[in-house]
Amino acid sequence: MASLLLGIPVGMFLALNRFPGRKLAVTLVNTGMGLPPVVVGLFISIFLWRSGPLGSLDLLYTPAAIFIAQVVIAAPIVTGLTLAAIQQINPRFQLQLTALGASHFQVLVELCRETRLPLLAGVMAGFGGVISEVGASMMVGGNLKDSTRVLTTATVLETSKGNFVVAIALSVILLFLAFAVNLALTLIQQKRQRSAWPPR
Amino acid sequence: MPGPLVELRDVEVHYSGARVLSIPRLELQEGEILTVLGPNGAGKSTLMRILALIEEPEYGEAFYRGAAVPRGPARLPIRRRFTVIFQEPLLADTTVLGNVEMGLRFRGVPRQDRRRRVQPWLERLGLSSLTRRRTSTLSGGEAQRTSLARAFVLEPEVLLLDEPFSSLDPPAREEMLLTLKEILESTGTTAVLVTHDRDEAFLLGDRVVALINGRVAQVGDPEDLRLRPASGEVARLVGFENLWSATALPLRSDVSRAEVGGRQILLPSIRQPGKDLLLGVRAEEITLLRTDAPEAERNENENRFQGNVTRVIPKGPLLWIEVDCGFPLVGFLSREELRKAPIPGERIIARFPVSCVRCLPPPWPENSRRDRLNGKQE
Repeated sequence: MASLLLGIPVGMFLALNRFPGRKLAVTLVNTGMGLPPVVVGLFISIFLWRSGPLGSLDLLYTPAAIFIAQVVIAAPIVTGLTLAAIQQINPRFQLQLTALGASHFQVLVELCRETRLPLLAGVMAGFGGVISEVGASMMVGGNLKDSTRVLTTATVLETSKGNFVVAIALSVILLFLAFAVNLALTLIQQKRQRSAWPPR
Repeated sequence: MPGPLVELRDVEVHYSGARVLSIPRLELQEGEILTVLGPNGAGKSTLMRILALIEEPEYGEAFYRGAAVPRGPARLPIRRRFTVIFQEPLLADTTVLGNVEMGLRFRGVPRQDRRRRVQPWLERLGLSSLTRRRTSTLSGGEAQRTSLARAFVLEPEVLLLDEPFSSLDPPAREEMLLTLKEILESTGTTAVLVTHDRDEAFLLGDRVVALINGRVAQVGDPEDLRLRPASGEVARLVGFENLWSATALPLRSDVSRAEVGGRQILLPSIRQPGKDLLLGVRAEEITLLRTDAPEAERNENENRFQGNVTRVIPKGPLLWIEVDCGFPLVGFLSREELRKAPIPGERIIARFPVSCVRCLPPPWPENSRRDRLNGKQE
């Protein structure tokens, strides 16, 4: 969720504004889309390490640390897909909205509405990245029982213990979660396309 | 007389170093339809965006009812009295109804009132049966009518149209033009139509602005521009098919003459000092005759040339005929006038009254010089 709150506005900003350094920013976002979770885990661990720059916050091996790692992993994905979605809109559409009397904020809202399908794809991709991620959660969360042991890290642990029954059960839950969320999003996404069929 | 509704003063716009628009002063009167006629790249769309208050000019200011329009978010209330219809319909990906009521939604009009206000416009533009249709399934004409309804439902004080029908096929386009004219007349809306089509500009405009290279070359009523273009550039824009670069000859027995491609043309009078002239004659003012046609009496006040037909192009009920008389000349012939269309290479006589020849002041269009060179070589 936090990734959406961060990613969508940043993506829109990058898509709609021209400023020096924009190309660099877009390149960074695109690189971020393929960021290996282990690398994120490493850097966040360094930052949150007791002797690190943010060590005084005592966040390492807490749910908050996992949360931070997940945001760092998902935000670039959402940002990049938002950017791509907004950029494929005819720039004159924005002008038309303004000409119809939309305020600046109303223009942004309408643009989101117009790109809701690709934006949903961004949400799905971001969710997919987060739910499947193990490395960073393990590193910054520490896989502590009842606190920072999430489905993926638990699966890793149970598998390494040879406890396949539990591991499979966890995997099924994980798959079911992924399936349920994506099913819901897909239903929203595809609903409209059926009603627009056949295209003329 | 009340002041203008909208006025631009000293407006200048530059894009990447080049000046694309420079308007010392332009007024839009309440209730009039102003058409802006210009070739591609003349700055028409830029001018339109500035008049619509959706783009702020780099230099200069826009005035609304005599008061300067503020910059930034403060211009929103004034901006909302204006709206624009663009070349492409630019509909949002929702239903026809959703699009038509969009502007009202931006203005915070409650849903019930929106439905009530939208209804008459949906009917008037023949969209009643399409209200629930998604815009992605509309034809080009339906989409453009939706965009028209979306604009008119706002009851704008000023409606701006940026080449609104150039993407439609000719029958749909004529239909839309007449619909538009009728609506504008019945609502008394002040409108600005930007176009490169002179028929459109003359049909709809109470006044016409000729915009060339970002400058206002002439403003006047349509007849003024059509018959009395202020310069060679405007003449080309308003459809003087014949533009000849000429050299003034000394007066002989009180008659002005000039040389074009080695032939002499009689002029009404040289209004232009200097030796280099640009002469303009409209194609429809030229009478074309077969050489075997019965000889009409020779007229003192008439120019008469013989030449070879170089090209024949059918244009509706007329034939557009290009003739080489030592200089290129263009005239029309109705198909009935000749039992048989002339063929290239055939000799033909071109006649036109001296009073039809206009000496056009500079600035001249760039390629009129080339015409002269072509003429001299042949």
